[in-house]
Amino acid sequence: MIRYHARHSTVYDYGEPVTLAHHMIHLSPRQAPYQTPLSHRITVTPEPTSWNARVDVFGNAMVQFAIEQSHRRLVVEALSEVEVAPRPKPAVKAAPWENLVEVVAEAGPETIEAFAFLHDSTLIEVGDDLAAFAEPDFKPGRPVVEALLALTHRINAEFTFDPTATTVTTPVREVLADKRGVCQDFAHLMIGAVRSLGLPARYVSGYLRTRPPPGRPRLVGSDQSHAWVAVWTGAGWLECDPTNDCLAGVDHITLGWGRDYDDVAPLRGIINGGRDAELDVGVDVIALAEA
Amino acid sequence: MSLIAEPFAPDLPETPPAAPLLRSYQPLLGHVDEWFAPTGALRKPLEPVVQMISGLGAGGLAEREEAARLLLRDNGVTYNVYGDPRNAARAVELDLLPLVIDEAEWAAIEAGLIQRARLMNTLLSDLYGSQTTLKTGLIHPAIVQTNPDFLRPLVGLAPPGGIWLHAYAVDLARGPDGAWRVIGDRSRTPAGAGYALENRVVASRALPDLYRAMRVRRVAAWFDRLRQSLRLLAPRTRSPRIVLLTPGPYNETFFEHAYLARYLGFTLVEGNDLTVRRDQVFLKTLGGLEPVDVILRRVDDDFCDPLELRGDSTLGVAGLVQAARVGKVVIANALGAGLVETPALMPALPALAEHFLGETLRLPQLETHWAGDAATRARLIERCEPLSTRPAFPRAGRSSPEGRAAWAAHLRRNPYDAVGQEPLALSTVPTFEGDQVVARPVVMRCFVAATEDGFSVMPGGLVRVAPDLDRAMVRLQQSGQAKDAVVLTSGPVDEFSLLRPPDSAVEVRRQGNNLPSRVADDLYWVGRYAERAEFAIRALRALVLRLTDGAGTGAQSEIAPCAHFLRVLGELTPALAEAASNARAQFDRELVPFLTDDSRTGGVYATLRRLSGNASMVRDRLSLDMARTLRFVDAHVEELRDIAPGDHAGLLSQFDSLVMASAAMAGLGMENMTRGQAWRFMDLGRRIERALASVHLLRVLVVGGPDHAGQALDLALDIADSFMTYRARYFTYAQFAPVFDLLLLDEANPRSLAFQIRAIADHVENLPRERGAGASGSARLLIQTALAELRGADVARLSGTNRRGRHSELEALLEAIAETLPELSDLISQTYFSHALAVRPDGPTRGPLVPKVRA
Repeated sequence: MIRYHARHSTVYDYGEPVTLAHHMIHLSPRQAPYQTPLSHRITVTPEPTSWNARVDVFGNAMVQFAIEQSHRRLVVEALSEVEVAPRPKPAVKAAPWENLVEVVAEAGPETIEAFAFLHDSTLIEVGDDLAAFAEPDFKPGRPVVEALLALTHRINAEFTFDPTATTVTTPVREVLADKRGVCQDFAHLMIGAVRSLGLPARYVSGYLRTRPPPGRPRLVGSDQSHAWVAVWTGAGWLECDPTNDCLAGVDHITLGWGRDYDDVAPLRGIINGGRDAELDVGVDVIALAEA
Repeated sequence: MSLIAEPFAPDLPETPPAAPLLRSYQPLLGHVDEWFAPTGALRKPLEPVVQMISGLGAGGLAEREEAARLLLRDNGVTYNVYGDPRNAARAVELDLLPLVIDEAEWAAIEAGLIQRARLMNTLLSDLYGSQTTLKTGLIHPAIVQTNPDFLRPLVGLAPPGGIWLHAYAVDLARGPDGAWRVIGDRSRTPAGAGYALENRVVASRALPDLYRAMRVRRVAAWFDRLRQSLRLLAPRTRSPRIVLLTPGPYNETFFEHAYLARYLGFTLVEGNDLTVRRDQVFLKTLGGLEPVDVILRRVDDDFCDPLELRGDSTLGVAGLVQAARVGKVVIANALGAGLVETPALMPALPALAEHFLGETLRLPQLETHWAGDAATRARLIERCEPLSTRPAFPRAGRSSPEGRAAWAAHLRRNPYDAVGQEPLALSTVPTFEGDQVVARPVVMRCFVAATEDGFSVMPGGLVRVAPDLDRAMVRLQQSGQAKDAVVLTSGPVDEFSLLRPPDSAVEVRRQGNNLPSRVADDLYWVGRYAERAEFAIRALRALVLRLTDGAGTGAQSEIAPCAHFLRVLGELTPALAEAASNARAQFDRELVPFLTDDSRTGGVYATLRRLSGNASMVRDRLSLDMARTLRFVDAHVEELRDIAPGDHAGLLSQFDSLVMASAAMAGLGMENMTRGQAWRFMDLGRRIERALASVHLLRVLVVGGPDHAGQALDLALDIADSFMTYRARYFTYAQFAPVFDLLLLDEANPRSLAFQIRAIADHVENLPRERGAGASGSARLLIQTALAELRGADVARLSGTNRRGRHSELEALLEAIAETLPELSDLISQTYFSHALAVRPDGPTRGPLVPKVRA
């Protein structure tokens, strides 16, 4: 079990004043069997005129706020302390993955929730092309966990991590064609591929603890927000990180999950004015104690 | 499926005498006919109708049809969908032969509709609440979870009074067994009630005797109940503000939005007219922000809030969902209500009625299959033609496949997104087709409102006629004709009309400062574009007039300077001005394309199109006559296109018509508009535009040089419509000083610059003061300075030239005013339109501004 301190700051500098801003943020670590939030604080400058904290439909803590005073700079800072334990080991069942597709389709009580993650969502559209991409790893009769690990590995091997290749709106098909992107793109690609086969998959937003190269100090602000994938395996959700070719473990701190990025974007808003904005995001994840 | 029956003559009763029009009427084999029983006998309730037809005869009936057409056209003048004459004003035409439903039959329909509304409302509460229907398997989770109409941010939100469906519509059709059955539900933003109302108003005015003779139930009281129930739900009980939220004039049913807003007395607004502050919805008005209590929306659920719902929507209001969540605004229908519109739910409804209401589902439904399991999917693919298989969730935006292979592929990846319905031979109603009366299949849309006393059904409905016999299902878009649905009663006919409330005294009101800023903005531009167009037409008319001079050849000595003058004014391109002087045939060929070039900003055509566009945004603020004049302008602008090259007389006559129409607009504005803020902003726009044009004209005159100076002065008098005044005053040819006195300084001449500046100063004095007191002070200073300079000017001094032969003092004066006017216009925009404008240039921002997850 590891205790972390995480700082996530988002700064917008606007080229012209923003006269009215409505924002929604998903910046609070989520309670889970393997994760316990210990303390959490969000500060926003300038002072919001309204502040509504609630839990969204997927169970994530979120805040919606508005700023009515004219401003040229917005600062949102989230400070969290959280304890992360290892996830339970996935049970590698021998049953073929196709059986699971059928179980899901029967819509029994335990898969009702999974249906939300089975089909198209705002940023991901299922299709034959995505199914074809997944199929080399999903040969008939292969157990689902084995197939998912293979797909996770293949995305990591075939795709190039390239922060300049994509933007937040790059479609999954473009990522598939260019074979470049960042964690958000790889997560969306894997979700789309798995859903196209008939398996529910969700998008997990969070942080990844990064370790500096041996002998070098950790640089402040060098960490990033991270994203990975959770797939319904019939016995819980298996969390795959295609960017790093691993399963999520004690280095993965979970903020929340949804159908795709759009459901759990760290910050999204509608503003009046504020053309030519510049954005600066800094994340620091520091391990306080390893138990 | 629908074959034409062996011809048999309808068995018309001896008395009344058989209507010749119906003699050759042939009901369709396999379809129930609404007028004639299978024996050929006329159904009893239709007797007065046939009597009426007989009495009027074919000619009389044609006259009534024409009267109805004119009434609809006049309504279309006021409520047209974007003032585009190439666009049909109304989606449907009215056929006067009604669908008649007797009392007993209606009672059964009514009870069935009320039950269905209760069921759907309960279902929505469950699906956005505890979801017991999913947990118990009554509803397959895919119908909710894979449905784009299931709006997750609305989960857990309970609308005030538990009412999701304030207005709900059901499409009904009568099958060969004689039973009315449900073929579809409309729960999102049900359209058609306004059309049904309009059809009733028009039909009963075209055939007043018939409607009296038939004992027809009125529909007006239903609208009042809808209005009352919305008012009762308002969070603020004292004079709540109710708005009708429309996507705008480009929406296909905008006509209905404007019509209903006016009829119900609600403010017609677009998303940009509203803003959310501290979880409260406000209307942006000239006087500031005014709270809004209830929103009757015609914007689709997911477009209503770009923050929590569709991020790419420009039709909604950021923060609206939250305002609804905390109960500070009532939205009708509640956001999320579109969920129960999917036909995938229909097969589950009988069991749901038992579950929730403990009742049997009263109204039968069209047999519907949803792709919930493999066997049904196979059937939907195999029988996709007769079942008219279609997507179950059309708003997912997937293309609708055609043919078995395409459906198989579609269902492989989207296994739940298909529904099929068994074909149904729709009942028919006699319908005019040319001068024949033929049997046409119909569907009827009925409307249910949530009221204080539970759900209430409009006694009547919108009947849509299938365009051809093969089309079993009729949609609003594809239907060419509509009919009135008439419900009969044996009881007293209630005489209620919303236009004359029976016993409530009308509160005396005068217009305040609550004009929406966007409306003021649009009116300002209506004024500016109208004036801009008139100036351009007057200038070009002066040239064409010279072309048609005498024998139609035109004297070269007149045309060249005129063309030159227009070029300097910017009303002709250099090439065209050159052609006018030297290459007449080329000029004639190019003139009409030049006039009708939509891309040339400031050109006649583009300006009039913008005028029309801005006017359509404020149709509900313009008088019927003004709207009619705009329609007239539209028609003449289009006719410009058809003028043959060289037909100067034809062109001149179009120009004359447009100048007259422009004068009519100005006159109606002056004489028929209340001197409120709406009038003030429209006139302000007109005055500022005319002042700008005057300054421009005078500067061209001053710096135009000595070449053809006399002719230029003539032209200026002509364009400024001041020729006769000049003649009457001076009895001499145009000379510099008197012309400048008349066009620049004479405050008595409504075409002079001084007149405009004085009028603008007067408007500025009377602008609303609540907002930006400082800014209106600056505006006042600007315009008063200009006015003082004009009043202090001496025409003799201004006419003088310096050593280089320039009117330097005059130039300086004109330049100062030329700089003042745009500054003033900007100041007014910023002060009064800015909270409407703030989001306009680039719209709500999102997308690239969202932090990308990078690791």
